[in-house]
This record gives sequence, structure tokens and C-alpha cells, in this order.
Amino acid sequence: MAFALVAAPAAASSISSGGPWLQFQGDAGRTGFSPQAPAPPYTLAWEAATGLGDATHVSGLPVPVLTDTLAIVVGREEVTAVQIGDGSAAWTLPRALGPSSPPAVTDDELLYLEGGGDESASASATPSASTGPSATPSTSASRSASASSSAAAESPTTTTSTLVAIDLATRKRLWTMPLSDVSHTGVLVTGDLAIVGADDGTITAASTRTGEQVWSVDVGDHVLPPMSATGDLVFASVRPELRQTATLVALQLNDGSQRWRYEPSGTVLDLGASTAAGDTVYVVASDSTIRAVSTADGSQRWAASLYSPTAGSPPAVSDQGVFVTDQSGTVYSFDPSTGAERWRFATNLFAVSGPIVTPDALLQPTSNGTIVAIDVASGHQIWHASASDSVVIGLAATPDLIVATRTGSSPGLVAFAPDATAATEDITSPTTADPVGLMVGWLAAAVPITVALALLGRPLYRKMGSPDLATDTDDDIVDPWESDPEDEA
Amino acid sequence: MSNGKKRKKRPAGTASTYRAPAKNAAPPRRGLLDGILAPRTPGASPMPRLRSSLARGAATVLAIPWLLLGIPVTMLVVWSLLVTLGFQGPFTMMGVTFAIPPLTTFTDAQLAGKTFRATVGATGFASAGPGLLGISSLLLFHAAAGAVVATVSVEKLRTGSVSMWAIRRASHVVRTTAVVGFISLGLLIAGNVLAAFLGGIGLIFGLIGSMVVGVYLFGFAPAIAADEERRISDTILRSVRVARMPGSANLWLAVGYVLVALVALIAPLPGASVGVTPTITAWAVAIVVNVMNVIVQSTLVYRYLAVAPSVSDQPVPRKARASRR
Repeated sequence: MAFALVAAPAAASSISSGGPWLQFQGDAGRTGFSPQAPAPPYTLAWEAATGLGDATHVSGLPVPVLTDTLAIVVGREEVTAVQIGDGSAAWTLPRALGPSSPPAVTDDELLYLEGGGDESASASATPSASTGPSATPSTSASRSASASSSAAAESPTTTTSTLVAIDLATRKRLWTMPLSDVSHTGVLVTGDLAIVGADDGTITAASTRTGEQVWSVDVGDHVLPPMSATGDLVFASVRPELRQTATLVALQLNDGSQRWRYEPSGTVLDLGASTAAGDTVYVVASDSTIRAVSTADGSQRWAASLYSPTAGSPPAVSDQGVFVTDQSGTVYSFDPSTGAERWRFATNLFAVSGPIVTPDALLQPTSNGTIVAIDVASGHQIWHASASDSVVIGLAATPDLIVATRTGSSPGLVAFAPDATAATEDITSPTTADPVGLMVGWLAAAVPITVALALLGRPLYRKMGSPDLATDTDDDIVDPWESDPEDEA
Repeated sequence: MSNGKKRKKRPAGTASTYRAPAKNAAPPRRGLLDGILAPRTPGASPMPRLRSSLARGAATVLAIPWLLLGIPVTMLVVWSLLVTLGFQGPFTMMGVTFAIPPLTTFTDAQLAGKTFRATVGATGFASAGPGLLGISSLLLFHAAAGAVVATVSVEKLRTGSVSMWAIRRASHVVRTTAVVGFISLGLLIAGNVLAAFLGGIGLIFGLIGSMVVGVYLFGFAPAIAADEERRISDTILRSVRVARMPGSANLWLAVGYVLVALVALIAPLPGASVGVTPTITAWAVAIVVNVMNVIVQSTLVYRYLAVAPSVSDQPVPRKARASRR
């Protein structure tokens, strides 16, 4: 694999700290809430091509993170940054082929995962090479002062993932930490810890400054979705092997020891990504439910049913509610304290990613390339726009922009800016009962069809006449009379 | 026939009305699945041709205004009930309201999963109970609908008119159609197991195959139950024998019907999305699809009535079949 560094020198010194959307869903709790994000409607601001891959080559969760000046996304074999102001290319770093996952930004570092092989749909017939490092996790990071181009050469296509930290200003690799298995969780940064999970159930915390491993624990069978953190706890959903129940485990941030483990009642084979807000952690389950769990002791506070299963994306949480989207594209708003459903809106557009929330609207990316905005108070759709001819994978927000990653014929980033002149709408969910509309629709369809068919039927029946049921037999039929002795005589 | 309706008499002079005491050897002992696996009745099929059967089925249904009106009215009532219970679509599932099992059973399982749900976290019977209750309720509803269509079709074909007898008779037929529904549920479960083992090919041969088998083998049971007074087991085995009459093209009818009905069910037709207020076009499509379902049911009724006197009550023994050759 040929690695090449494509950098825009002008961007090198423009990195600032304290960006607005520094990791997946904006913060360590994965709330997806941006209190300063602009309100809809929006208009297209810019588009930028990156190496996410088209619909058959994309894999993992390539969602954007935003600094004050850059939008960054982890693609198949590269990490790409564009200027957030106009979408122009800032720099591109090579990356060992592997599933995309959410990166994280600290004051001056970018942390991301690389390697793990090709998991895209296109790889099913041609598995990727396995030339990776040892599957044994290292207990200390390997620091590298070399330029990023040479560092990249040390990360060929692998069957395990590696946590990489680069200097955002110089793009040089600061340190790397091999993991014991492929990682899909992305990087969770809380305090000075970078925490990653691996498919083999290992969760590892490393110092963001030095890359030294702080702790590593094995929590069970598989840790796949992104993790969340609040206070002194980190939360990970653990997928079991067959015929067991999935669990949500809370680990102490300081040493990785287990604080509690929540095992949902019922038949729950898997849990999605969790969202931690205040003293509650929210998680969707494979039995089409959302559960709220106390961070203090892991007890369940409430649970609510969804109409369809979800794709496992984390709920978005703001002071106005808990928002979750199922696979069929129905968005729900729940009361955070009681779990009472406030509204639901059926977009009828398949959703593979979770929503984000602004003070005014919930924004939902969908599989047909549309982004839908729903008023958080009324539950009505107030804006929508097409961002792609395929899946919109993830969203991020700044005070000025909404940035999305997309696949399809133009994989990459697309940004929307507020535009007061753009069209808005006020659409009620199709799940809202409308008895008058129901009767009108039924009458308008049923009456003409019934009358037309009845009018057609009478002459047809007359023309065909009565069926001669007795004459439709022939002689070669076996019946009980055929061996009648009188017949034989 | 004990239903009070006129029954086709054996043409005078063609044979004696005296039935001799059985001089033949006693019927051979029947095996467990003899009704299904015994050799087919030999000879050319007396069954009307497929095209003329469908035409007769359509003419029969379209000539019964109350049946035509009953289709959309039933759909409206069922949809309103389901929405009240929490179902929110897709409305295209209503396209099987008058379908033939296992097509109905296939959608009942999905519909029950979205409508009759256990409380969150329930375990054991509390977890499965509401779903089972829902499937059973839907299955019984479809059994009742199938019974009414069968009896109405039988009376129209036999007498040229429809009376309250059809409804009264349907209350007897519903037992048979309910059993057929439960058998279809078993077939679908078996098909799903096969699909799980065989993957994509299994999905085709397992799931679709189980539907075709169900329609093919048991599609005549409602007609038999409506026209004759038989035990349920006899009715079902007789349906199998009718289905397997050589040259009848019953298998092709089943294959074609299942494919068309499945396409109507899963295609992105109007009403294929979540929502509780179907559009005019969604209603129109669903009504037309259900009229098609009723026409196919009526077609099966006509085909059975046309061959009813020709169907043996016992599977033809293998030796007897060989001796005729």
C-alpha cells in the first residue's frame, strides 16, 4: 500500500483549541447536543470530497469532528481535514486500511484508530491482506518522533487496530498503541484519558499526552458500539455470544474497575451505543426499547418501547428531552425523567445513524441522503434537504454550520449554513390519527372501485352463464363406483 | 350433503344406485402421510383449465355485490381496530386481509409483533403471551374471512344466488380454515428453519416454498368444508388429493398466486410506509389486491366443485394403480 501525505501548508498553524464538536456526538457523554447550533432552515454551504468510500466501500462509522477551523473525518485509508469555512482541503494523512470510526480531538492532538482490514461490502469476495502486528496488546505506547509519512509506513494493512495520536499542528505521529483486536468504538476522550474498546471485549485507557496505557480490562465478549462517559465513569455496551443477554458495564475512570453492570430484563441480545447525561445513561436495546439507567448504581429508571428496532445509534439528549430514531426512520421524544413519550415523527426514511439536537430542532440523517429537521417542541417536520444520493452517515454542529458525512457518488463532507430565506415546512407525522382523512380516503377509493367492479360483474356473469359443474369430468376418473359389480356385469 | 343445498346427482343410467358390498380386499392400511404421499390419481385431469377457472372465479366474485362491498368495509374496520391497538403500518399489510394462508400467517406474525407487544422487560409467558394471542386472533379472523368467501362462492356457484345460508355455513367452515391456518403457521416455521440453515437460497426455497406448499395443498380445504360435511382431517386430506390431481396445474396456480401476492406485499406500493392515514391510492391498491385474493379463493372453490364427484375418498393404493397400467 502506498502512503502519501497530502498536506495544505497554510492550515498547519491555524489549529486552535477548544473546538465545538471534538468527538463523536459532540462530547464524552455522546449527547449530540449543540447549544449554540443554528436553527433551520439551512442552505448548502460547501461540499468536500474525502476518502470515505462509496456505498460499497464505506465501512464503520465515519462521522465528522469539528475544531474551530477544521472538519476532520476518518476514511478508509486516510484521515482528511478540510477548512470549516469553505470546505477547501487542509490536509490528508494516510491510514492503515480499516473500518472508519469516530476520532477525537484534544487541545493539540488528533486521536484516531487505524487498521483492522477491509470490512466494506466490496471486501467480501476479496479479503484484505493480513500483515499486521502482533495481536498482543502493548502495555506502553511506542512513541514516534518521525514525520507522519514515515510513521504511516509502519502501519500497513492489519487485522487489528492501532490507536494513533498526531500533533494537529504538524501532523506528526506522537505515539501509537496497538490493540488486541479490531476496534469499532472510535476514541472516547475524557479528562486526559483516551479510551478505546476492541471486538474481543478489551477496553483500554491511555494517557492522551504520553500514550502510556493507564489501564486495560476485559469486560466480556464484544465491545462494538461507541462508549460514553460522565463524571468518573465510562459506559460500554457488551454484546454477548449467542443465547446470552447483553449488558451495559460502568467502569471507574481512574483504574477501569467495574462499578456496576446492568443486565436488561427480557430478551435483549444486543445494546446500542450509550449516552450519558447527568445521573442517567440512556441506551437502546435490540428488543426495540430504550432504557434509562442510573449512573449511581446501574438500576433501571425507565424503559419505553419503540415501533421498530434501531440501528444502535446513541440517543440524543438535551434539556428538552431524550431523542432516539429507529431503523424505519421514526423519531421519538421522551421525557428524560419519566420516559413518557412526548411525540414521534415517522420520516419513513431509513436511518442508520442517530440524531443530533440543537436548541430548536432535532436533525436526523437518513439513508436516502436527506437530512430532516424536526421541531423539538411540536414534533413537526420543519425542514429537509438532500445532502447525498446515498447514506448520510453522521452529523456535527458548530455555532455556524451543520456538517455531515456522506457516501454515494460523492463521498465526503457537506456543510449547511443557516438561511432565513430558505423554505420551511410544518408537516405533521403520518402516525398522527386523522379520522376525517381516513374516511375520505377510504370512501374515495372504495366507492368507485366497488361500483365499477359490480357493474363489470353482472354482464360478465350473465355472459358466462351458470357453471356446468356436472359436466367437467371425464371417464378416466377413479371413484368408488368404478368397481361396482353391476357395472362389470 | 347435509347442508340442505342441492347436491349433484349421479347421472341416471350411467351406473346403478346400488352399491355392492365390498368384495374387494379391505383398503390397504394407510401410512402416516399416505394422504399426502400416496400415488396420484391416474388419468387426465377433469379440472377446468386454469384460465377458464380464473374467469369463472372472477365472474362469481364480481357478481356478488355484497361480497364486493364487504371487502373494503372489512378492511376499514380491521385497520381502525389495529390502529387503535397501536399498529402504525405499513398499510400494505392490509393487502392480505382476504388472502389464502400461509400468506396471511406470514403477515400476521409481523403484524402481531408490532401490535400485540409485551411490556418492556417481560420474561417467559408474559413476554411471548401477547404475541401469541395476537397471532391467534389474527389467524382466527383470517379463518373467518376465508370461510365466508368459500361459502358465499359455493352457494353462488351451486345455486346462482347468495343467501344467509352462506353465513350460517361459514360458522361451520371456520373450524377447518382455522386448522389450515395453524398448519400454515407450522409450515412457515419450518420454512424459516430451512431458511436459517440454507441462507439466501433457503429464504427462497424455505419461506416462499412453504407458502406455495400451503396454498397448493390446503387451498381447497375451505371449499370442501363449505360444500360437504366431513371431518376436518378428511377435509384436509381430500384437499391434498384434489391439489395433486395430475394435469390440474394447481401447483402453477399456487406459485403464481404466491408470487403476485408477495410482490403486492413487499413492493414499494402506496401505503408501504409507516402511517395511520392511508392515501386514496393506498386504499385503492389494497382493495384491488384483496379482490384478487377473493377471486383466487373463488377460483379454487369452482375448481373443486367441478371435480368433487371425481375425487376418491381414499388415496389410491400403489398396487391398484400399478394394476391399471
